[in-house]
Amino acid sequence: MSDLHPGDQLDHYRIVGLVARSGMASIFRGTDVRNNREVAIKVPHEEMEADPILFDRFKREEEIGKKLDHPGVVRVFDDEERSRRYMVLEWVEGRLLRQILNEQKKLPTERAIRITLGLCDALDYIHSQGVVHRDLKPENIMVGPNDQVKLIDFGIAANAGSRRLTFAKLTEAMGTPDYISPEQVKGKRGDARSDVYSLGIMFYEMLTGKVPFTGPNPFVIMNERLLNNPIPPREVNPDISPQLQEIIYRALERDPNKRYPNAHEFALDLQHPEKVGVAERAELSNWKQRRSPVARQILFYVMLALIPVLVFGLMLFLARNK
Amino acid sequence: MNIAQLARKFGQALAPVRISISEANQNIEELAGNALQSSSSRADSASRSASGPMLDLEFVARTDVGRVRDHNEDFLGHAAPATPAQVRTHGWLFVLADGVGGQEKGEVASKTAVESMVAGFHSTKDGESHSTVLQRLVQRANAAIFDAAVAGGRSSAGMATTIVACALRYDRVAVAHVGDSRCYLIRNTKASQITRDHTIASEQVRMGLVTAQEAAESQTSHILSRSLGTELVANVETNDHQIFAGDVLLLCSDGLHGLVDASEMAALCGQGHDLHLAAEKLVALANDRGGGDNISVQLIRIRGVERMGMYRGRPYKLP
Repeated sequence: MSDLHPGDQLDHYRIVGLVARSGMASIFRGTDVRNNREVAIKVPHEEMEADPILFDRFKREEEIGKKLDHPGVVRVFDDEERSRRYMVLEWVEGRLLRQILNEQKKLPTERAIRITLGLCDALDYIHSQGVVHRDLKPENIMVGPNDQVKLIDFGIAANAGSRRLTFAKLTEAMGTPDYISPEQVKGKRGDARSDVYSLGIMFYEMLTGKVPFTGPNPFVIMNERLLNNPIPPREVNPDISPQLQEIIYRALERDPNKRYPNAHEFALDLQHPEKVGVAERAELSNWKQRRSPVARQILFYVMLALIPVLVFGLMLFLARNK
Repeated sequence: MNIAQLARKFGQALAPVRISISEANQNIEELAGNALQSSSSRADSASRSASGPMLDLEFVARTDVGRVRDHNEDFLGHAAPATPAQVRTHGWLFVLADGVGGQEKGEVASKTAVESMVAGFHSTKDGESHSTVLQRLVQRANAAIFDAAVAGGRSSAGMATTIVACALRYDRVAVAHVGDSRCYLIRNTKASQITRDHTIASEQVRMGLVTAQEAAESQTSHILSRSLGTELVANVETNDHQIFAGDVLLLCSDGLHGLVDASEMAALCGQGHDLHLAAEKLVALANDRGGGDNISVQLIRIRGVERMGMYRGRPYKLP
């Protein structure tokens, strides 16, 4: 919000400075004047407060935040009277996983595993509390100086429901296209296994420096994961062991029933990769085949055109062999 | 809600318009002395010329706010031929738009779209192909909404609308649509959807990525893949169909087709049913099932057509 400046007092928090602005809210660094505790203050924008979907999301985020208490999840302070709507969060020292990935592209394998294990732990906790993140991405993860991680955003809409949206709001409603799970692309709500998939994509990205599915627009990127297989991680980065590659594939299974059923199983395999059996996977041999809806259509028409040719051939054959 | 809004809502809901050309045809002498127009019923002395039958239709428009929403974002409109000659040169236009967007801006978008189309239809050239006309008019409506959104500043940003429009002349109907408002053609007690929804879920069905079953349950079935007002150039889909006497065209917003089956529509609007009653029953049915969105429906019954053939782009009368 433009009317808050460093030095201002908001109830009993003193604003120290603006940290970030997103489409929905501004995040300020602040100090609690009662105990000098550092906090982050998230103030929704005016337009957002007027939009029922976004505002719902903001309220939901606060509710979820208050319910959770785990070192891997940012704490939301439940307090007292407030003069306006805002959210007070624990101040987290560190950097976004997104910033780290932007700067370093690939992370060393040990570090990638360490971060992923931390995330598995946090996910396992939130799932046990009945919360599914549904929009897990590097932008929502803080990494501290010793690689301890914290999930910082639980913003995905609880129920976008019956309200119609235009294509421009696709990402807002469904989640980030790069990290979304296939079942969510198909319009399902998504469960704990969807978070495992998103984590799998991040693990892939940390090890190889790129996301597995790309495309010219969000819709194509989303659909890509229903049609094609990613480049095998070992093709991109030969340092990855076959066991790690197998773990990635198990997290990225298209069918949620074949995927790791929960973050805990994912973590177990990561801790003991030597125990993972590496099987021959179809994805390893056929990842170069690109399937696209257009190619399918062309194939369909070619087959259609072939029908009269076949019929004629058959007639010719019968006539000759009478 | 202010009085003007109320008046508009009731004006739309309570005063469906019915038009009959054939009656006029029979009573030309009487009509010549009477006023041709009144608020609820209007007659057009259409086929005054002695050149045989003309396109003849009756229609009803009805919109309802539903049970849940507190304002109506749907908007309906039509352009009727002003003179008998215009039945052949211009024909009829029916438009239905369903606004999208918070902050009550959806209704601005749908109203702008419909008004722009109706105004534009009157000033088209004689005999211009309806598919071309509709393409151009929808683009114009898109630009009008886009301009309004830019002029309106922050609060209007992101306002959008769906649209479905059909233009009738001779024995053809051209249907243009953007978004998930639908047009059904009801013929011989069967209703067939002649528009395909522009939503994420139905695009995925078309690409073969999800099954129709999955799409029906999908959370993305309300996310529009195309809409008016969001981009500078709209992606319009137009189709052309032949019509016969007895056909009923049904334009509706998702408030109706989300809750009422095609078979139910066909049963209510079939031969011999009063259109007034049919429209009322459709709206009541949707309201009974929750009425979660604004419900709008426009029914057009074809009573007679003029059989026309085309040769080198010109219409020729068929025997």
